[in-house]
Amino acid sequence: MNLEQALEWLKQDPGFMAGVTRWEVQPPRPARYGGFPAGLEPRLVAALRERGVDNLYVHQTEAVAAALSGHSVAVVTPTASGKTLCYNLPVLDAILKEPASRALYLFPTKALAQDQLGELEELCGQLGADIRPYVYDGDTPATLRPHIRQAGHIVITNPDMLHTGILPHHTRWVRLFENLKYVVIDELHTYRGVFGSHVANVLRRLRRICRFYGSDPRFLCASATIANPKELAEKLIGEPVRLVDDNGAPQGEKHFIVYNPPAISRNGLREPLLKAARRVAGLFLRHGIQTIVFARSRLATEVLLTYLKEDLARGALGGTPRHDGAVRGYRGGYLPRERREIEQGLRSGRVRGVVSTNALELGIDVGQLEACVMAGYPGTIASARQQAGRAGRRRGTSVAVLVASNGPLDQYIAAHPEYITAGSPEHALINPDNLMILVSHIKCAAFELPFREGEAFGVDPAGTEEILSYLQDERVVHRAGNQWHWMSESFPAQEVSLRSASSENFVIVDTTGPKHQVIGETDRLAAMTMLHTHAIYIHEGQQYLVDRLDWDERRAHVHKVNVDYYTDANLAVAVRVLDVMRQGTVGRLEQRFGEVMTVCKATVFKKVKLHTHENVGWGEIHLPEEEMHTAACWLEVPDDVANQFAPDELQSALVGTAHLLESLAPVFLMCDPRDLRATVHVRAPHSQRPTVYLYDAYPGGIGLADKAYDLFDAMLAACLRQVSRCGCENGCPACVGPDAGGRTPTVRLLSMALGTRAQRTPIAKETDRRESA
Amino acid sequence: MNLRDRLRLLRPGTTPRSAPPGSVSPGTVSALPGLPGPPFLPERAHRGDLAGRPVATPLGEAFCLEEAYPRTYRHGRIPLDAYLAVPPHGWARLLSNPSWSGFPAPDAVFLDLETTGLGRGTGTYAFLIGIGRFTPDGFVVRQYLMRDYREEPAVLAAVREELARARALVTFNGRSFDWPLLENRAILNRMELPSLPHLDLLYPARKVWRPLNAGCRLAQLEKTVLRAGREADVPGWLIPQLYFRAVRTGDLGHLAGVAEHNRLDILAMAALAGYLGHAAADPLAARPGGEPLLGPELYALGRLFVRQGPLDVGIACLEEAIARGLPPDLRRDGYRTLARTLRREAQDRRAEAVLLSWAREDPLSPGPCIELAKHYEHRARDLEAARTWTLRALDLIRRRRLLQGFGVAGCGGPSPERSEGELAAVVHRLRRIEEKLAATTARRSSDLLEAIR
Repeated sequence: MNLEQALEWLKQDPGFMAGVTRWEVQPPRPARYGGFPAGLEPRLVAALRERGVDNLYVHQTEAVAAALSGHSVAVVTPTASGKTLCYNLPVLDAILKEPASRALYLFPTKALAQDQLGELEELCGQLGADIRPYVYDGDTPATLRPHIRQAGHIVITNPDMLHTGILPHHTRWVRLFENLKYVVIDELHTYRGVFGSHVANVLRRLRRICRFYGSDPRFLCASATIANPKELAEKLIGEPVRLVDDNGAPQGEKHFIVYNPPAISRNGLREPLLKAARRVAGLFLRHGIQTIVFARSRLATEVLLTYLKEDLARGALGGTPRHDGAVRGYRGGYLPRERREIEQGLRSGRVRGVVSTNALELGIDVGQLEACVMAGYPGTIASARQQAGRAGRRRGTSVAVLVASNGPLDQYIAAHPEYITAGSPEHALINPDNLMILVSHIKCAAFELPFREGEAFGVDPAGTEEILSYLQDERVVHRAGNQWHWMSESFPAQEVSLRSASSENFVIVDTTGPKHQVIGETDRLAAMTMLHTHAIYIHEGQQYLVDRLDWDERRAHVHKVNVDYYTDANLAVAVRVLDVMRQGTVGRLEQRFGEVMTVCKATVFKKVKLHTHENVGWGEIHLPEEEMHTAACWLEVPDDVANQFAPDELQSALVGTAHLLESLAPVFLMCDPRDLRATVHVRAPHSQRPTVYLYDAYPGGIGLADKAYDLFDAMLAACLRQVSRCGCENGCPACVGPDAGGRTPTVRLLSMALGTRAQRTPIAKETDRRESA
Repeated sequence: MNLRDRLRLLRPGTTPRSAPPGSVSPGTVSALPGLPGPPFLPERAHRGDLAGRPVATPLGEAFCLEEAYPRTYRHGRIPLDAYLAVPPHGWARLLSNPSWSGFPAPDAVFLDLETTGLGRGTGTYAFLIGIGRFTPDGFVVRQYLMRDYREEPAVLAAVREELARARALVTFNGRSFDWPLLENRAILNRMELPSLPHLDLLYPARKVWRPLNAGCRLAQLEKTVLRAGREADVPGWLIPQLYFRAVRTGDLGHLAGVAEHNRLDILAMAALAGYLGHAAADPLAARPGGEPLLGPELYALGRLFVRQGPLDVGIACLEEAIARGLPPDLRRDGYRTLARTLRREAQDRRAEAVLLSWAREDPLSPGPCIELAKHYEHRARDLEAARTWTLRALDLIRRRRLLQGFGVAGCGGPSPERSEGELAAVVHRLRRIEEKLAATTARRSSDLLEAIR
């Protein structure tokens, strides 16, 4: 059975079709060419022709021409549309014309850097010119480093290495910085949120150092589809870019299916995600259709892989038994060599299926597969499209199936599939001027070069000076004449981690064996609830008991155990409003945005029996309070509204609304669900009013709460739709959260917020979109 | 909320309640995320008088401290001018490269930096640059101090001037620390430094003094080799803090101890260079510290020369090292190296004599027995003697294993695995010798039969 036949077979299966909430078909599209831009080095054109590239797609032509005329460019086209040529051509053109020229490539991961190196080396080999690309990262041998610093034409690295390994040592990279023509930033969309805000500051430092050495590089960016690529690129690199988004690459017919597994209990609970994904992926794999399966966690990856291997080995449902190596797993934690082998196997077709975390979502070249199965909504539209793009050939049919989980976000998507297929992808938000991030990088920048009076870094000169004088009070910089110098023994870049919210991570030390080893790391907040003394910490499926959490040393001592319960800690969060910056109304409620201080304290933990979820004990947690100054938006319930609820009803309504907001806000803000948190006060200290808060989970905030304030209407409407159409009796984890009985009051509160009439008794099921579709 | 209040809130543990505007207590400094608390430093620690004078440079005024010493000034037990009398081949031998015989010792400068940290990144400054050089009538140490950060260009200009008048550079660990750091500073100030031949004393010092096992840091060598003591020396880790204090208070007196420390480092370098040069040039006769070289020093030089030549000097050094006295492990290695070198040079008789005296001196060690067995089997072709020594080695190894098996503490010897390998090798050797012996006996008897017929 080929893919067309398999799709036909699915269409004939009423059981499957009952769960399909969307089946969209994109017709095939021919290639559109734009020719080689005038002025492109003839040697380069000749080398391309030799490789069989006789013409460029329109987006490639446009991007290369814009770069050649001195513009920074952001290219936004789908996976496998030939994005790399858009930046490789201008870079090689510059080096061929002036061999002293240099370029710096940034990829978010080491694996992508290696992938790119291979492609560049091939192209350089074809050119027959002496152009040397190198990867410079933590794995580069020390003996090779001086050579790369001197002679590498193209240095491929990652933002973390640029931040700690290159910029603070720029005097050893004089050749690079004096001759830097291009900075290439691929996978632009990954630089959002906290990480993106940090990287924007790293790039500010890069530009500052380039100015010192008299160079002024242009930036060539490539991104997967997001709503605001131009805005993101410009915020990230701090200068205008030309947007190129007219994809000229050809594409075969594409099917996109949203599948909600059948309900299996009266409570509305659906078939477990992994089971459903196993059924769908199994169908493709059994018929030899090359398939990629995306799972949302490392654990899910391993479980699905085991299932699929079992099915294939048994030759389940009439398929022919296949050998073991035909389906592989792929995730962080696999050795690089193993990963390369799997990628190669996918390209050559030897590997017929792969189960992966989002590690394969980024642009690693695995060729084009026929089918993609997403076991769960990956969290953002952009991610979903990126993953779906892994299946898609220039000729021939491909299919992507999104299998929804029981979670509120997935159920929302299943009910509103047009959200993914037709809706605009999310905005990628960054806030490079987040004070905490900015201050960290001003420290790094002061270490790299003294600040001159009147110099601006991110904020205006006055703000920069204010921060520098704060750092002088903190005794790390010193003003001498008209300059600010670094005056400390410490190495600031080492203390600033680009990827985690707080630089102070907790390490987890396994003391089971005679040799203690570090098995993982978590941030401060997670440590409070996951690593408190006597917690059961689960890592790669293994249970560990936390013997002791050393708060000051930021270290948890654990040992392996095998018990039949897990622990669930209660985190009490209080919010104190410091400053209100914006206010307005949402229906009969009031909304505010401002700065707050949150105080978290882990109080007690429950021991919960596995499978039965019985409560089998509890304990107290003795840890200090954690304070965080951040940004929040919140809803206040005026007295005339609050009076319409019984006290415990009101509490349920607040908690339910908070739960829904926390679950659904990431859809609107395109953020990692962990970047945003919600909490409630039945009587807020600042206003004495019942309040629901939504706050940035990073000190100082990264702009999520600010954006959420503008979207309160839309978010609350989505919450109302979600809770109204939920199949449960009166509240479940898919809507208002585990707090039973919260559904009705939540609906009432939300209806008031939206100015619609409260629906009191039994909630009519909202007509599913799929019926109208 | 203004920027300053928001900045204050960044600090964990501070809230608007507890921190009224403008009250930044020193205690909160260490609470800033990621900043280590400054080490405790008494207010007047290492404070003294700092006498210097401003000097004019094209880039402004620099501050210079100058101290002159007579050429015969002794740092510890070494006169400074010993360095000037080092024969050229001493440098070549020490640096394992004949081209160093052209080292322009009298025109070299000794360089040492005091810095604001140990990192090599661009945020580490060299605030005190000490330069020592020989003059027609003595040894002068000039130290350029950046009294404040804005004086850095002037200090670098003055140092560049000093370097331009030199033909070579002597440092201790300068290849990986001082010089790259100075180059960083020059690049940051858009300046170019002359490129000079660079003698980094750390590497030869490690070659010569590692066997002494007393550390190869400059301060340690000053004590063990130069036998010079320092009173109330500033510990290195304190230096950045003292500088920061001086800059903040404007009181240069805080740097008196640091300047002294830097000056003594330069004197120590000059004295050590003289010692090393003479030791390498004529190891047997040299008395750079007023006494002949110690056994371990000769042993180290012997091993060096055996590897790179001159071979005869190397052999003589090893012989003399054994005669002057070595700790047991070096002694064993000395004998073994000496015998192997002699055997390699086909001086079989001398090799045999060395091994025999080793065996006499160390009757419980299988080492010399094995070496002697090799000698008799392959060189002297005396299979009987080879057999005797192999049997003896076997006996000694077995006895030692027995002791180890009983867990007798301190009986020494290799680890169980190594001992296993050693035993197997000796047994193998014995079997081979016996086979050869049997073949020889058979051939002899057939020869005898032939003769009788």
